[in-house]
Amino acid sequence: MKHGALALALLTPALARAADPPAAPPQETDASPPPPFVYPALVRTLVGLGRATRLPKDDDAPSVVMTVEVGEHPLGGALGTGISLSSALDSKGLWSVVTPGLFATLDLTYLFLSGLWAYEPPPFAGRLRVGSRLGIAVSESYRPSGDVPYAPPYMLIRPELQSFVDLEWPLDRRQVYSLVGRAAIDTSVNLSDAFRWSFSAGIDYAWGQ
Amino acid sequence: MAIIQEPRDHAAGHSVNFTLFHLVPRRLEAPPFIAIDCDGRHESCVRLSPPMMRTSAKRGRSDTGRSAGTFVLRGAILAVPTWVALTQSSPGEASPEAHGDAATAPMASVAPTTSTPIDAPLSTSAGPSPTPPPSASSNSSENASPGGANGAPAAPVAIARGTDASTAPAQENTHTKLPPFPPNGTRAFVTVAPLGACTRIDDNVGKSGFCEELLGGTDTTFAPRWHFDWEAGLGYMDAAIWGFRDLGFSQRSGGPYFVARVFVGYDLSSLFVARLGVQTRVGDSFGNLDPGVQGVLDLGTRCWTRFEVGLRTFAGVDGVITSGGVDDSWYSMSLAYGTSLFGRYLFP
Repeated sequence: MKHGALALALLTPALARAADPPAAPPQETDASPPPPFVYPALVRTLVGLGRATRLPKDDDAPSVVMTVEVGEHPLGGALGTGISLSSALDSKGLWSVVTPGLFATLDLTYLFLSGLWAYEPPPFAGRLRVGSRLGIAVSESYRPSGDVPYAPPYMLIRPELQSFVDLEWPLDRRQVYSLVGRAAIDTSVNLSDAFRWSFSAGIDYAWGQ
Repeated sequence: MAIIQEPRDHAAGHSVNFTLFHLVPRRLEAPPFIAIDCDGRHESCVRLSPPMMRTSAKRGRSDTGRSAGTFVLRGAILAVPTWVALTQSSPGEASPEAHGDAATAPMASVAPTTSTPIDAPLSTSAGPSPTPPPSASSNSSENASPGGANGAPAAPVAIARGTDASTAPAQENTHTKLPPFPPNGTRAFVTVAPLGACTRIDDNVGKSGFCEELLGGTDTTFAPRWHFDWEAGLGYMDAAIWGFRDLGFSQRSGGPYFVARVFVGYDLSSLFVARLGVQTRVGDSFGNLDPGVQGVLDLGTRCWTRFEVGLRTFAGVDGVITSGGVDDSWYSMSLAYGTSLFGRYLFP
């Protein structure tokens, strides 16, 4: 019995040590848990350029588009919902639009990685989202002074539907900050008339457990 | 004298027979745990267990598959002296009462398993140790000191213990349950794109409308994750006619068309596939072909084993035929883009 235990004592550490591969340097990914597929809450800010359709060529000019969104990712990150506030300002100062509303997005990356909700999606860096924002557009427009001097501003309030595609790419390891690019088009609610389109980019900040 | 203890399943509260079978993984998805009772004081103990449970965040899958070979090798090496010790130890030395104290001892944090710290394996006492050894979570001075509880030097012995795989805690990475990547080879498929929105930008025959397609082709996996696809079929998009041909000037585009496309695809995961390719759509306008060329991006997911569902986006130019009379017509191009949902069935 003593011989067996002695052999056990002498052989096992050496054998175990010999079987071990060279110790790899410690990696941070092993020590820290991987980030979640998506964080529950988000704040997104976007700035870009756009144009309004159906304007006379003399009045056609780029517009500056700004968007702020606050929302969350329900259903494990497959969806996104929240409130949105955007504005579009004509570079010539002839019109401006402010649109508050509610948005909903569908994360195509989640769907494609999960096999349409069949599997838990593995970690993935990029995100492709499609979504819509239903809002009430409050616009104010002016006629050029050369056309109609002293013309009063024209205010229009109407519902609008903004359809957009978002492409996100994380900026840090924890995927808290992401770079977001968006292509959007504002239309009537029944999609029959296109009012404006825009391209914008910004930062997405996400948090939560 | 070494105290050889039968492993105990903490969750179920019953002993599990220790055999060499427990050292061999039954399947990669749920390997049996090999716990090295070292309470963090033995370097081989520290390095053996944790990597099997770690998850690589970058690759998004468990390291279980990669370490399977090392896992078996280590298990076999450790099993030999353990088996020798087991066969040479007397029944009285492996008292069942020793399990109770060991089971209530704190678990070593370096081994996320159901292991229990071993108490003084080379102790001359046959009974259980009066005090459990310090766990790996204790301070570093305790870990650095090899001394035992009674002042005797701690044994540099690590004894492997096996537990039943079915009782292992559910810490495995569920991502490993993703289906495998498609094997190399060629498979035929049919594609249906029943719902699409196709737009053509032209002063006269510009139009946005629905488009539908039915196609067949083959998918060739020529390297891991890489595919080459081709498909061809028929489609329809809303036609637009402008002018009066009999009066000398008219334009036409759209209608039924023949479509062919080739892709190079890459599997972003075993389910998520992306394809980039080029397509041509050829229709008939006033008896003339009006070919157009577009770039295509497919993003899809594999589901229900042989189906693939995704989103197809394309942009390029479409052909427009302008007729100036009975025998006079010419070809021009207009910008075109669109998107559609598609479904694909791959034959076995």
